[in-house]
Amino acid sequence: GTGCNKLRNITLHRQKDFAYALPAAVSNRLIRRSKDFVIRSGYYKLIIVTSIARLLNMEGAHPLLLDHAVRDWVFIPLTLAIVLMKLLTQYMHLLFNTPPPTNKELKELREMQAVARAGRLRGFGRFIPESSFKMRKDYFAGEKGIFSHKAVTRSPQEAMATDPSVMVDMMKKNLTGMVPQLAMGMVVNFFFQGFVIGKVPFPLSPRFKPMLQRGIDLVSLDVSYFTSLSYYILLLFGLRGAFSLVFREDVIDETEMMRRQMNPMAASPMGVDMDAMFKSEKAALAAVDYEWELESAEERAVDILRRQLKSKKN
Amino acid sequence: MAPKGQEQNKIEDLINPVAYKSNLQALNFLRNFVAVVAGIVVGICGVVGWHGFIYHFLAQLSCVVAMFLKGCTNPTSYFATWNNLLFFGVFSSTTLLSYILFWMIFYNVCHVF
Repeated sequence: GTGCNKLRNITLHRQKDFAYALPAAVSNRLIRRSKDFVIRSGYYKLIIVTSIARLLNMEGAHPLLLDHAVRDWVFIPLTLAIVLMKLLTQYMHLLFNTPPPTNKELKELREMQAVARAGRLRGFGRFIPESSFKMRKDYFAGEKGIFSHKAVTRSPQEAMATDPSVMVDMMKKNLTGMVPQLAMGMVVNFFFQGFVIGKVPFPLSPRFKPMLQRGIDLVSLDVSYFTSLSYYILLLFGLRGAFSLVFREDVIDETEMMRRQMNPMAASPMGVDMDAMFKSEKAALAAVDYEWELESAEERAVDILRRQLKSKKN
Repeated sequence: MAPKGQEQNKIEDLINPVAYKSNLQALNFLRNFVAVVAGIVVGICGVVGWHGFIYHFLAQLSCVVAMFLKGCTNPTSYFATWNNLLFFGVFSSTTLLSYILFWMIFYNVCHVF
């Protein structure tokens, strides 16, 4: 077969290539004998190659000859499997993503709305006349205002303890998000361990070696070669872009979840510390610099008219 | 591609947020697509080395040309500024990582095989 041709070409050339020729000859015979073992002989071939390279202390500049069987049985199936797994998790997330039932009382809702309204007041206060603004400000931040009362909303810890639905929601998010990826990582690590799978097209500094070659301790192996576990992680990160083409909506669920875990304030929709929000809103309202837009509107209109007349003249 | 919205006075522009967001989404989609396709092409060609990234940035800049062809004659009325059109999402990690990934996959399948 093709393996025989390769063997002859190699032995004609330099002697360094003998290391590849010898295990190729051995494992070719293995392939020809039993087709059932084609997968395992591919693995054995690479393990033989790497061990002989270790013995002969090969330099890294020599391009590694990687076997066809590895491509057929590891690279392409791994890629397909990860793509399918990501598709599955995406669809599961879509199916299971029912919004959590709002089990908040009226008072809690009212407080949340009050905070939102105060924020809007601060942002767009210049569109209402001064007396209205002052009335609203007093309603929120005055001595008997809303923000002076104690908040009724429970803090997030209490909410998590008393409400079982929060736990169920978190479990669902975890189940459809991180768990399949971790499980797949373990499966990949278990089955495809101990050999390199491919080559990164650009040269890298040796600092990337532990990142790209987990589990292989060859010092002289080129840094551009990576193992299946690092390929798995690269796939996870790289398929985000491709998936955002297929699904137009927000696809990057696990990065969002990671960001949410790092930013616990904005995490759950009900788990905000209401007292602190009240205090900050009160201080912000007191600090706002108010000016009614209509006061300066005449001047601005004159400006615009002047500019337009000037441009018409020119 | 929906236009941005009226300009009421020269000082403050009113931006129609829905239109702006949909324009940016169209640009983002185009950028991702071009990153994937450029990665595949570069991988099949067998480009090795750091200069392979130049093709990525070339492809991203060709998105600007594509936007002009799509009808965006005056970038300030479709995107907020020129810089937004040129550089939005060029350096984002999704496009870069997709480019690297597909470059790697096709280089491996065709050349290291």
